[in-house]
Amino acid sequence: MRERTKLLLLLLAFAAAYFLPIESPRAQAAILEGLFLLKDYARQHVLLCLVPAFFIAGAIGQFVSQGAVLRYLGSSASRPVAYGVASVSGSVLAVCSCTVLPLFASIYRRGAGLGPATAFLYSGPAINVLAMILTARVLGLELGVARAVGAVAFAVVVGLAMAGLFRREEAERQRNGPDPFAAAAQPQARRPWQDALFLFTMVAILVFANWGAANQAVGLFAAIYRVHWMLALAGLAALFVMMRRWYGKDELEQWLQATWTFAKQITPLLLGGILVSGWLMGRPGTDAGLLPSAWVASSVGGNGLGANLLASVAGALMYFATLTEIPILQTLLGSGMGQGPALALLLAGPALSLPSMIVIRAYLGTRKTVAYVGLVVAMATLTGWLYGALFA
Amino acid sequence: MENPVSVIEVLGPGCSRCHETYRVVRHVVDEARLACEVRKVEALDRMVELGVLRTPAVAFDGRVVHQGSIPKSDDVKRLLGLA
Repeated sequence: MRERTKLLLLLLAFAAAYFLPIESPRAQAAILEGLFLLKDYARQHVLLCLVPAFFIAGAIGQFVSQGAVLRYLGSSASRPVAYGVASVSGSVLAVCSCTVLPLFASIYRRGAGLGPATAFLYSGPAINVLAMILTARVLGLELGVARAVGAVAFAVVVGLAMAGLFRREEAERQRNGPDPFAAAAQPQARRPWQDALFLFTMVAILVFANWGAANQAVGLFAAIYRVHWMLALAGLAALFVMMRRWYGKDELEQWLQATWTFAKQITPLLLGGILVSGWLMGRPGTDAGLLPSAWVASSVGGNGLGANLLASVAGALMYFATLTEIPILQTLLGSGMGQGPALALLLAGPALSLPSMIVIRAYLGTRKTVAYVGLVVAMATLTGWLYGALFA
Repeated sequence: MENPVSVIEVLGPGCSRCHETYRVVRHVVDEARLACEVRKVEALDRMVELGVLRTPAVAFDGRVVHQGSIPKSDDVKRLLGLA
């Protein structure tokens, strides 16, 4: 670092301290709000939801055969299958956008072509297990399910539309050479159903551990609530049996490693995101953040087409670190954002960002990138609007 | 000992996992005093050319030998025929 840069930084820090608006009650309250929200997450969402979700994500990354999935994205795979696999494979193959891009490039050039490649490009960051679980938990089951269904459907539609728009160029472009997808299959240590049962058990533990008290004292939900800890413990016991019987020590170690990698990568950013959204918007239901609730309500409140458009454009430009979109949305919803715009932001947000657009443009060219971004924004707007009209 | 690899490429779009992989490979090469070139490749085109599907990936002389995770230094040694 040059001396002049150091001086500049020092001056900036001094100016920031000098003008710190700490006397204003609004600023004081906002700082507290950030901490309150952080505590809220730590108390309510980390132990029972986030930690199991990390283990599930780790297990998916480690035990689900990526080779088996990849084979369906090669140039020899049938198109409908390729679209189907591309639109859901994001949950298996990728959690951060940096894994998505090389795979996208390979599917585009050597594999199934532009359509499935864009389907994957969208679904990769948009459909990941961690995000689905936390969305359902924090923002409510309806929005969680809408996000999952919307993301899968979007991937297919965007892929098909892109392939249709550029079908003439498509025919000439595909590069030949050895198909890297064909060789991707690896020998399997277990039957697929064993891995599936393992994952299912973990999801069951997650669901039962988080089972909420029902409104009435009778009925199935209340009955399950009375024994939900026992069910979760039984699941845990079953999990340990499976681990001993089916999985080698190396594999379990790798699983732990993968889980730890996720936790390390995601937790700090998530905590930062929670703190900042608390500062800006305050806890849901309070109007104590730096941004007055009235602003939020007037720009993305209700369910107008304009509010949905604003939410999806803002989401498309902003970069969300994995999962941070959730506290941001939670506080926005608490400040008066409508359900429709919230879904629009969830559908356009994680899949697109200004940095990723620049990388995609370098690879696809300006026309295809504009088409891709335009499609996602337009569809997110319409879907949000429809969802808001139907459910809110 | 004869070292048959002359160029090692570490492929990845520049995330922390790829940097870590580069560090591991660099370390093994330096420790064993191998006379090979280690390159950090961030170009997507090169990854497509080599058929890399998952990153970080490691290629010896244009042949992908490892992909999808950060290799341990023992793995790299084994791949290089050192262990």
